[in-house]
Amino acid sequence: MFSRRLLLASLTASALAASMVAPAHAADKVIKVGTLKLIHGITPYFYDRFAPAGYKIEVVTFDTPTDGKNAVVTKSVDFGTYGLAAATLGAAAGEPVVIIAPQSNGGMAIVVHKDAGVGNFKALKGKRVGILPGSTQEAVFLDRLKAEGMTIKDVKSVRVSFSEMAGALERGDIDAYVGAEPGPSISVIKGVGKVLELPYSTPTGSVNMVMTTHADTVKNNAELTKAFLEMHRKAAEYATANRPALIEMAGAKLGLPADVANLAADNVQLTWKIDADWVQRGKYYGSLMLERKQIRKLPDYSRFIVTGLVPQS
Amino acid sequence: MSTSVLDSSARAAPAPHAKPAQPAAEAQNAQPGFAMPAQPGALRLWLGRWVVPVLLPLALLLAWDLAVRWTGTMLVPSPREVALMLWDFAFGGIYDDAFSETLGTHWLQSMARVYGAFALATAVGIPLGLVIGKNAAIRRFVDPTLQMLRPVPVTAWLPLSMIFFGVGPNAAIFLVFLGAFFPIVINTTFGVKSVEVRLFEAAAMLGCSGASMFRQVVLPAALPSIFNGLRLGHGIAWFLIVVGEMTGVPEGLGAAIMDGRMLSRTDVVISGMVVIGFTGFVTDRLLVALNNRLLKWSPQHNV
Repeated sequence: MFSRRLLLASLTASALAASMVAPAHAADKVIKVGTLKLIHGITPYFYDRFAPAGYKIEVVTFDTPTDGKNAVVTKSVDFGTYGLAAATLGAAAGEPVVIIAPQSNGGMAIVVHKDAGVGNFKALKGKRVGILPGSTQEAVFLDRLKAEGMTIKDVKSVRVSFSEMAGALERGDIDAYVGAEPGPSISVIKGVGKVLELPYSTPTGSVNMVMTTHADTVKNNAELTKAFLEMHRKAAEYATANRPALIEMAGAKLGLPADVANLAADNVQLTWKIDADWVQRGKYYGSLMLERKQIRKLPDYSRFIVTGLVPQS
Repeated sequence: MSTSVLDSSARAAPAPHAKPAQPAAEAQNAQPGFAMPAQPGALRLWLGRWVVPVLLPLALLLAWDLAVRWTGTMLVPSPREVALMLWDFAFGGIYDDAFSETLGTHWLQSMARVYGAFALATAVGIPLGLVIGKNAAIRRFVDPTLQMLRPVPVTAWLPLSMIFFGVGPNAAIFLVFLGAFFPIVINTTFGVKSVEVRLFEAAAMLGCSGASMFRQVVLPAALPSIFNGLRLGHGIAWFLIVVGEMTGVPEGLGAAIMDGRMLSRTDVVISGMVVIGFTGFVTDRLLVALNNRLLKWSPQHNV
């Protein structure tokens, strides 16, 4: 029968084609990179353009920063990016996670409902504020409260994940939130909320996401780590210099409308340079976590932050 | 009239079979090599009742401890660390952090939510199941919708429940209610539909009808199935509380577990799991005790 012959011929041809193509793919080693579904975690989606010869990039997304850190520690991914808080939590507990570069700064905002009657930070007193425990935003917000002579007990904190903050504000379940982009931009574009402040005035500054790997990778495969960081630098610089490409990628990978992505991108600095100032801010951040008993001891910073592998140019 | 028609019939039923069975057993005993097994001694009974059930948990604890030691993992705490955390969680005095001495509050909040929602699911599910099972017209009207909603995972209701009830405990209660409701209503329906027609006929001959037929025949006959549904629903209620308390809930075992997850405090996560497991076990035993009391007329349905 014609259809049967055609089917057999197609199957044979496909099998032959697959056997000829397969060896070319098999030669490519896969580097698994984990990230969060946030616009300031977008750099890994640009890695493919700058991947070292013989390597392919596979991007894996996490639900929470801690999941990302656990994926790195269990070697489920080769490299992973998430907030400094999660990395510090792991390192303080003796887990073999190391920071090899910053990933992005900024991306935070304290957003209030437009009808909440909150005009300044002190007016948050008694308001329901959405916060994600264990996030960099939480630590920065606690520092801001301290700077204003307030404590967490002055607000009613509500545990809300980043992706649900804009919706919770719109429904009126919370009066304000300490969010991560694109939540704040969504609230602003929808006309539901306004940015009360970008909380970068604390000694932590705008430090946010870090690029991490397992301690074994640095120890046993320093060349791969260096090549990876070179790719990370190129991708971060490319995405920063090409706003249309960034907006397009945010739409394709995060499902963000162009206007939201554009506004959110204003609040994000994709980065890769690890310098003394950045390390200092990272250490300050760890001391804050210790003070608040989020960690029981400081990480061993001589092992936790690896500065020698980042490209110098 | 306190004794139901079913009670008396069920009690009477085994009697005719019991008598002929006895001589047969005696005849078997009379033959060499077919002696009745000796009654176990008091020590053996005690061992079987109290020691055997703890062997597997102890073996699992040991395996857990050895696995942590051998692998040297930092991600999973050892049983000892979890025990310390449980103590600190309950009474404080060890770590003095955000979780110290908060177990009571978390436990009470979760208990109130789980059993509030479970009671609501029981109050709605059992009567609805009885009606659906007994009345074919209502079954045709309600059952297709129910069967369509049943496969939808309760976690898929989470975003919708937050829209209906807002971010907070009410969304959690709704999820727990939904999770417990379906097994209760479906098992009750099944129980009612499985009542033997002869029982209705016998009850009718004895002058039983209407509401009394429902109370004295349908309800007792459906009880084993209802209890199956209650036990299933009870288990589901506990595991959904963690999903329900993921968002916007400051206190509760699920909330503590989620905070533990975010803060990489696996000792808190496991402590919460232990408390949920133990509470679920104790309350399941209470359900079983109630089941055995209400179904003492039916030894095969005693658990």
